[in-house]
Parts: sequence; structure tokens; C-alpha cells
Amino acid sequence: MPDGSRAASRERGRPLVSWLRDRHGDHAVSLSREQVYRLLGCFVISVMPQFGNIPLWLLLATAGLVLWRIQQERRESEPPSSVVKLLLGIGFLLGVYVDKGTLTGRDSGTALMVGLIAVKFLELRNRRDYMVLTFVIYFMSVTALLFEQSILVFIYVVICCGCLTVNLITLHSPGPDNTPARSAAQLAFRLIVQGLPLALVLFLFYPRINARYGFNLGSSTSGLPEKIRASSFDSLTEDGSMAFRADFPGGEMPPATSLYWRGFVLWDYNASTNEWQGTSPAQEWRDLTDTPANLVGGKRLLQRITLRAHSQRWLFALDYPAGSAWNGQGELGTGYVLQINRELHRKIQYLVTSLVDSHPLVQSPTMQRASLRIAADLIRPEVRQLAKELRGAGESDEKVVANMLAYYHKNGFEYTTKAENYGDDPLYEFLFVKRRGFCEHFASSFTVVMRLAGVPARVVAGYHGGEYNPYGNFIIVRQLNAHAWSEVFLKGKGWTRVDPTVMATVTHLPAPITPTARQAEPSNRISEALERKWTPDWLPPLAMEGRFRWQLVEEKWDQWVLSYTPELQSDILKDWHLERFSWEFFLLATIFVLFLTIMLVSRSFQRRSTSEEALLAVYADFCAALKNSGVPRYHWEGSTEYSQRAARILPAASKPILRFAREYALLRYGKIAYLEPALGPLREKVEAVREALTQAELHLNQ
Amino acid sequence: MKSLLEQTLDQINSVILGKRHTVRLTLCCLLARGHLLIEDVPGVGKTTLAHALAKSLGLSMRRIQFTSDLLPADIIGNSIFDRNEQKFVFHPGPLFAQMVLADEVNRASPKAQSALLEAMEERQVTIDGITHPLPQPFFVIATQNPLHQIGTYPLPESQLDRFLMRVELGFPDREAERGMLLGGDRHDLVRELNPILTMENLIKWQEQVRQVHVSEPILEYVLDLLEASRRNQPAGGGLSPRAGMALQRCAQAWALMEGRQMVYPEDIQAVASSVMSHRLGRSWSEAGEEGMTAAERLIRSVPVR
Repeated sequence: MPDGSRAASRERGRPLVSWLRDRHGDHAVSLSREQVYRLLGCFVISVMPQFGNIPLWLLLATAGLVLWRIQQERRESEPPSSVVKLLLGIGFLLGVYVDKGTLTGRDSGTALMVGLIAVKFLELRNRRDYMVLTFVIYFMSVTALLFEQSILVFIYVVICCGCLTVNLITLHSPGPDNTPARSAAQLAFRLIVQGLPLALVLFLFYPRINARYGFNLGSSTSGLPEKIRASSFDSLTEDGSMAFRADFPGGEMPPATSLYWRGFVLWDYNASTNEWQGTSPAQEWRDLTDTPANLVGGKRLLQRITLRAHSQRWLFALDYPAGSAWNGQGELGTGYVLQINRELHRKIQYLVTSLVDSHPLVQSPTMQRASLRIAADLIRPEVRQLAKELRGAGESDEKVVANMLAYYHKNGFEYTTKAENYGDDPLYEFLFVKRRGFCEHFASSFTVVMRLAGVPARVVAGYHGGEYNPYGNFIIVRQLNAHAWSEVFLKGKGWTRVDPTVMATVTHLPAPITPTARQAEPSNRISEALERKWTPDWLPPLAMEGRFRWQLVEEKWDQWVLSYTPELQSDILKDWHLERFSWEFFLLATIFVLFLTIMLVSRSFQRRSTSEEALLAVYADFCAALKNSGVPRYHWEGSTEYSQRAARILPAASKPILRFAREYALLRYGKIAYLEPALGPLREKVEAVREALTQAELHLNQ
Repeated sequence: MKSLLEQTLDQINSVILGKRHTVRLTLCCLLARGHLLIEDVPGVGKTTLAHALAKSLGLSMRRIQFTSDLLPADIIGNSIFDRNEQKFVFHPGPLFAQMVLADEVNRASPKAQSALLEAMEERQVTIDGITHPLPQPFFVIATQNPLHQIGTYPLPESQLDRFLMRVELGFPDREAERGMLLGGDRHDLVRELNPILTMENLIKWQEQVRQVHVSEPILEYVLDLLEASRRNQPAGGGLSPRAGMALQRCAQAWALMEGRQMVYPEDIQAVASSVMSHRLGRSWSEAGEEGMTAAERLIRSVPVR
């Protein structure tokens, strides 16, 4: 018999290639039912966060295929023929194409992947398929981050990857009856933790693909509508999802009365449809008067805004933004509107300075014309009559504004969030019949009447108010804070904000219940009323606090992880003088690192012999323990036979002896890639045998 | 899967009493795609075993009684001129069955024996230049009577190597024999057996046998056994490389029957005696001591890894 060292050196000399070739035979080994079920489970949990993003028909079809696969497994029936699979695949392709209009991009890509993985499951028979599917599902679970990058989704994805890794480990352990689930989970955890530094380095330094090179990453579904008409805010009044978060690096908070987050300005009123629009002309029309220099009064305030993707071009800032947003991402346009040059498809963070409570003092003649333009003959005479009455005998513009507000007041106008039918002429209906509506009814009707009365006016859309988080000192603005208000140009004062919703109805709002004193101030009451709908007042203070704390965690996540944009990265690389390294350099570096990794991995396979020696040492321990109890091993005896004989002779310790032997035989003769993690538990089992033997001996002596 | 196998074994054991280990070895040999040689005196149930096995596995079975005047054509078939078609038509012999029982194979002339053995090895028959494949699966059980050797042609050792296993049935113990006397006629019992396995299952398992994992220590153990068998032997003595492969294949089949996907040293030892005894040279059998067979002595001389 060759001695141990010779065998060890033989083992050590085996190159990786031959090892891989040996492994190749594994691919034909059929899979156990549990393994298939586990992979199906991983698939289901990794699809779960995508439920909202995948068309319903595809989800149902996928569920059907998964059930079919389970049925196959239970009946041990044959997989469907390749024609069926091909047809299913083509069906999914066509379905997604019809549904989404394209096969590329985030939404169709993900949907297609889910469907095709389900088809692939139908032909899952051997280890090779299993490995392929596992890696595709790894990718699948990561795609959830293309839709949402919140910390919860991130944690969920990590958990999915953990499950898949546990699955891979159990696939490579000897048999379904011996899946040391706990040690597999421990090993998976260790692998993931060991991978963290590498992930961090890649995250910080590996150049990002700057997204959206003709690649549609999809769009968020909610946000301010581009046109404003009677029902355009309907969907937003109930929508508690976050629009953006603002914090104030300068340390100074804005007064609660000034929480008007300016979005965009609407210039054109279409009387026949009762629609406001005008963002697009505003782009072409650069008015040089709208510069920070023309703002008078107000207090300078720096904001940092983390804006969710909304698929549109505008950025938000407190009235009035006085400068470009950080990094030149947003430019100040006509009407003091911050715009970026492309649609926003991912979360961004920017710094912007506003002059809070300031006024733009002047306006150009073009703007004057635009803010008075109205097709008066398309408007009902009652409305025109109202405007005439407001002007009376040549009252000043200020007086006209006050009269209009008084009109709302006198006639008991009410703010409501319930959608109502306003008939053919919503403007007339609102002003003279219903007398209740959303903010856009107020802003729209007010602006129309102002223009009819000859006062330059425009509608501004944005957000109003927000939820103040006392722990993180930031404000969260949600979709339900969406708001529209008016601005009128008064001689000597410049553009002045008039919020008819608040000014006309303030007495009709119920007294707010406020978690913080800051929000108690009157002008915040609308958002307050909305806020209460979303956060019921019966919510206990502890939950309230938990919510605030969680928002804080999310804010840190945004600040430390999501705000690390490609732009910031390239800045950092420049700071470190790495900018001259092109992508070729990084490609070479990647190849080099991969090469190093393969070297290290092949070394670890050579290390297997040392862990094998450790395994034999544990076995020698076990034999020594039994020999001490009077049962030496014959050299021709295998471990199973020996332990069975020993268990018969030493019945008191039979259980631990057999347990050890079962485990040892699996490790020694089974198909195991990594022995090390199993050695610890095995040593414990030897200890258990020793203990049982000692106990038995004590018992005998007594 | 195990339950199906165990059911099959139980059914055969209900006919062949008291021979569980031998019956298990027989099935193991079949799963390992080898041919079986049963060497024993008449009347211990060799034929019954073959019948019960064929019946339980749902295989077609033919029996060839070997006699000294048997010709190769009697086994493999021959071409006869068909007057209507004006050409020679091949009429397959009894060899064309999934399970063939070659009874008293040592009674026939070497010519007839080698016709059988060649067909066994190649799993096909060539007549008049035309190759006829034998059915799948193809399993030969040959029996040989070790006594009354006058007028027989015992198979030479080189031919014995073609059989994957050699088993001996031996006399049943008293209890089993009692059961046999009490029970009904064996022929009737065999006739009543139902097929438990399908042919597809059998072929699938034969595939799976090759995939049972043979780890490095087991390979080394087999090599050690081969090396030990050749030590201190005259030239050409000891186990052949084919014997090593047979040992590995049988151990894989045995492990699969135990419901495992990997071979343990105990599997090697369980099949070693049947795989090695007819292959070990005369010098091993002659040095008998302590009532152990040659294979047992070989196993005891090699430490398990």
C-alpha cells in the first residue's frame, strides 16, 4: 500500500483542468425532488418583488409552468418535447412584444427572463441545467434593483442570493438525506461576508456603465401630470409614495409657510378642454429676465434634494430657486423652473439654493403677453361677468385678487379630495354649481378669472408641505403633497404667489392634529389634512417614532449609497489621478484579477489534500476512542462495518457511533468540494462518542 | 426507487428461499450490465432463479440446454433458403432474448461455448456477413455443474473472465428447506409472478449505475486490491484490469441498490467474492486456510482507505 504522503503528493499534483474534467461527469447525475423544489422556491422568492412590474398574464403563465413542473416531479413524468418548449418560448416572446412593444429594455427584459426561466425549469433534469438555472436566477433576483433601489429591496435581494448560495452548497454536498442545512447556511453567510470587500471595491472604483445607452430602464408610473385639468390630481391624492426628500445642509430650516416646492409653470389655458399646459413652449422660449439677479428679498437657503425617478425633466426646489442645481444637472429656465436635459429615470440627489419668500420683480413683454392670453369667447358669459364684477370701476390689481378670494370665501367654497363629475364645463360647474374641488380647480379657476380681469397670472405645479422628520431634520414630500397654485404679476411687487386653495378655504379645514409644532401653522393645513389620511391619528406614538427612524435609515442609504453616481465616481477617480486610465485599462485589470482568482481557486483545490488529512485524523481519533473501549479496528474493515460492529459491542454508545460513521462515510466517499466546514461538526461527533463511552464506563463502575 | 428494487427482491425471495444475498448479487450483476455464472450442483434452484428473475423484471426469456452435440447454429440461429423469396432468410436462434439461460454450459463443445461467449461479449451476432444486434437489455445466466466432470469441457479461466460474477447457490438451510417442502410447486409459483419493474426502469437504473460516485480513496482501494492479488504470483497471476473494472462497476451497482449515490468500501467487499473468485488464479485457491475463500483472504490482506 502506498503511504499517505505519496497519495497526498499525487493529489496535490493534480491540476485544476483534470479536476474539472472529472467533474464533467456530474452533469449527467439526476436531481432529487427536494433539490428541484428548492430551486423552484428560490425562483418564486426572487420573482416576488417584481409582481407589480410583470404583466399579469405572464405571472399567471409562469405560475402555471411552475405548478406543471411540480406535477411532473410528483408523477415522475417525462419532460415535454422540445417543440412544446419552443412554442412556449416563442409565445412568451410574442406576448411580451405585444404587451410592451419592444423586447429590449428593463421591463420587457425582466418579463421575458421570468417567462423563459419558467420554461427552462421544464427541462431541468441534470446538474448542468441546475447550475445554469441557478446563475440565471441570481441575475433575476438582482433585476429587482433596476426597479427600486430602496434598502429593503437591497436586503431582500441579498437574502435571495443567500438562499441560492445555500442551494448551490447543498447541491454539492453528498445526498439529499444528508443536507447539513445549518452548516450550509453558515458557509453561505461566510461566503457572502467574504465577498463584501470585493463588492465594495468594485462599487467604489469599477467604472459604471452609464445607464441608458439606448437602453430603456423603464419609468416610474407616478408623478405630476404634464397637463393639468380637472381630474389630473385624482390619482395622487391617495398616493403615499415618496416624491422626494429634502434636507438642509446649511442647518437652517425654511418656515412652514414657505414650503412651496416649485416644479413647473403652466402658461397656456385651453378653454375648450379646460386644460392647462405650457411646459414645452417654456423650453423654447428663454426669457432672460428670469435670473437670480431679478429676485428681490427673501432668505438664501441651501437644500439637498433626493428625487425619485419620475420620467420627466423638471427638478423641484423651494420658491424661488436661485441658481443651477448641483453638477449642472438642472438649469434655471423661464418662470424659475429647474430643468434637466433628459428625462429622469433614476433617483438623483442635487444641491440647490433658493431665495425663500422672494419675488421676481420684473417681467418681459413676451411673458406679459403669455400671462394674459386667454380665449375669452370660449368661456361661459357667467365667468366673464364675474371677472368684470371683480374689476368693478377700475379697481387696482391687488383689489381684484382680494375680491376673487373674497368670492370663494363668501360662497362657501370647500376643499375636497373626493373625485366628482364636473360635467361639460368644469370651470363653470366649479365656480357656480358645485363649489368644491381640488387645488387645481381653485388654481385654474382663479388664474382664468384673473386673466379675464386683466391681471397677468399663471399656474404653478409642484408640491406643498411635507412631513418633517425631527430625527433626521429632513422633510419627506409625497405624491399626495402634489399641489397647484397661482401667481399674479402685481405692479411694484412683481410676481406674487396666491394660493387660492389655502387662502379661500382655510376656515373650512378642521383643526389639524400635529405631531410637531412646526406643522401646526395654518398654511400647512392642506398637506396636514392629506397627511392624516395617510397616517391615521390612531397610529401609536411608538410606531410614529419608528417611522421617523426608518426614514432616517433610508436617508442615510440615499446619502451614502445611492448618491454615489457615475459622475461622483469619475470625480473621485480624477482626485486620485486615475482618470487617464481608460476602460481598456479596467478591462485588462479585470482579466488580471480573474486570472489571479483562478490561480487562487486552483490552489485551494490543492489544499483539499490537507483537509483530507485532517478528516483522516478525526477518523483516527474515533478509532482510538473505540480501541480504548476494547474494540480495535481490523485494518480491512471499512468505517461503516467497523462502527456497526462497535455499536453492537458497545450498545450504550451505539447512537453517537453510528451517527459519526454515517457522516464520516459521506465526507470520505461522497462528492464534496469543500471539506473544511464539515470538519468542525464531525469533531463534535467524535466528542459525543467519547462522552457516551465515558458515561457507559462510569455506569459500569458504579 | 429503492422500494421498487426491494419489492422485486422480495418477490424473487418468496420463490428462492433462504438465498437473499445470492439473489441480491444476481440483480446487482444485471444492473451492472454483466453476465452471471452460477456454479452449483443440480437441484438447488438455478433455473428457478433465472425464471423468477426474468418474470419479475418483465424480460423475455429463452433457455438453451447445452449438450455435447450442440452446434453454434443451434444457439445463434441460421440462414435458410426461402423458396418463395428466392433468398436466404435469417432465423434467429434462442440467443435472441433479453434473458438467456445457458444450462450446463460446460457440457457443450468448446466451439458452441465460444459462440455463446462471443455473442455475450459483443452483444451482437454476425452471420453471413450481416450483423444482427441482440436485444436490450441482454443478460446471460450460465450454469455449470462442478461435479460429474467426466465428458465435459470446463470453461477455461480466460473465458470465465467474461462473466462479471460467479455465484454459488449452495444448499439452503434447514428452515428454508422446510418452507420449500411446505410451499407449492416452484414452477407454479414462478408462473404466478408479476413483473414489477418495467424495462425502461431497468435501463434507467443501468444508466444510473455508471453515475454512482467513486471517490479517490475507493479508487485507491481497488488499485490496492489489484496490486495485492498480483503480489507474489507467478507471471500472469492475479486479477486482470478487466477484473478491476468489474469490481468497480459491481460496487457501483451494489451502492445504488443500497440507495446511495457513492461507493463505500463495504460495497467493494460485498461484491468482491463473487467478482474475484473465478478470476483469481489457481495459486490463490490452492493456498486455502482457515476455511476462507481466496477472495476473503485477499480482502483481509488489504487495509481499507
